[in-house]
Amino acid sequence: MPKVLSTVSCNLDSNLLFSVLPLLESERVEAIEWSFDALYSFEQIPEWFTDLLSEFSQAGRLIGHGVFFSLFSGKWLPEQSQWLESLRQLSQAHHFDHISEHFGFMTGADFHRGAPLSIPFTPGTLAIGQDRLKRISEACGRPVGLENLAFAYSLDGVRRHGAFLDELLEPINGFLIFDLHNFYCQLHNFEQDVDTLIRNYPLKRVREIHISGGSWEISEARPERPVRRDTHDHAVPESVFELLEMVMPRCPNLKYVVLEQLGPALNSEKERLDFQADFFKMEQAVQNFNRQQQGREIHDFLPMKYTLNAVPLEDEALYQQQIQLTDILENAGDLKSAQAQLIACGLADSDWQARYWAPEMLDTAINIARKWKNGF
Amino acid sequence: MKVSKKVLQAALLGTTLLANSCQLIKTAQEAQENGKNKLFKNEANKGNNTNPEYCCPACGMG
Repeated sequence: MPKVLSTVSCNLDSNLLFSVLPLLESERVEAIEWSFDALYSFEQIPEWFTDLLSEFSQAGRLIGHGVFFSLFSGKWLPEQSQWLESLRQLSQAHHFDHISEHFGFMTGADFHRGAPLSIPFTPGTLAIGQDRLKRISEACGRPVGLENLAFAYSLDGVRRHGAFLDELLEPINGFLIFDLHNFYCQLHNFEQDVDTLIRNYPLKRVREIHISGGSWEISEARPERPVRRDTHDHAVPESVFELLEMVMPRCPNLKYVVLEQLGPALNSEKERLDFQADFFKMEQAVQNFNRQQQGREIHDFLPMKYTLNAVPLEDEALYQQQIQLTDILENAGDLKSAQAQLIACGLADSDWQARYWAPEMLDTAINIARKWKNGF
Repeated sequence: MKVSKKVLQAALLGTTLLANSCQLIKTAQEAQENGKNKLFKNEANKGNNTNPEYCCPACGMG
């Protein structure tokens, strides 16, 4: 009977590893998730880290989580070809139980640095996303999934996100990573009711759940209500643990629950102990859930056979809009200037519908884009 | 899941070296930024796992 596995993100990061190693030593960690593309610029990964990955790979308990593919960049870029080739090679070196990526396009000079932002939900972007997902699936030969995005420009985007993910994933028999902190951001930032909004997500596709912490940011556009951001730099809030207990029983194909946190936020002994405490709490919730399951069978999400076009799908107009938007977010003097520029360049009344973006979320997008403008 | 003791010991040693090299490079970067020692960063690049790019984005110091 497949049980849900208590999992940690595990990357080549000393702070994160110092936090995770005691959990590994006590045999509490049942699987690890590796962001395999975060270190592509290095000639080689240390042997000791490869050995650690191999232990989980051989047990069928290694999952890969990409960050930098930039699924929706309008133009197919050389970095995407390189990314796929690296994935192809890594998938031969390691047995990944599945591979996942993030929703959105990356801001930043080359769309492979920066932070993911959302895109218009149109037939054109849907076709691009489906084409790219097929290429990821073909490269790795494993189940492929996407993570829901925390950031949204408007309530309309929040309401439609789940259905769009479902359509994207359908042709590849793909799965959803339901990041509960991202969902929590949307619930808070758009004052949504959990029972209403969760119905918009295809929970039958959820194979993996993420939990993590984040931070509050005051926007001058709406100072009375701080914006919740998915910064992965704090302990997991109680509300997210409550969501975990509520959501697990609604996900019939769930296999992994993953605790994530960024290394720079695990610098002190107290932060590392808090991370471990969060793991124990997550583990308890997962064990309670597993005890209640009888004769559970889960969907395998195995890849299907595809006919791929020789040339990846592109949308030059979308690409130009992404460049315009990124430029405005990174360089506009302030929120009002950004709003004026969005109107002047036509994005306000395009498929992006920037005229209707919540001002505090545009302000947040400006902060996100500037934070990651020059990469890490 | 049980991870072999040998792998765990190597990971602990590797992580310690990684942390030390990150600290060494951070110190070198600060020294270089302060104009105190322009060669120190290059010195830090010698040896295993001391490439500063191991610290970026992993440790956020890059």
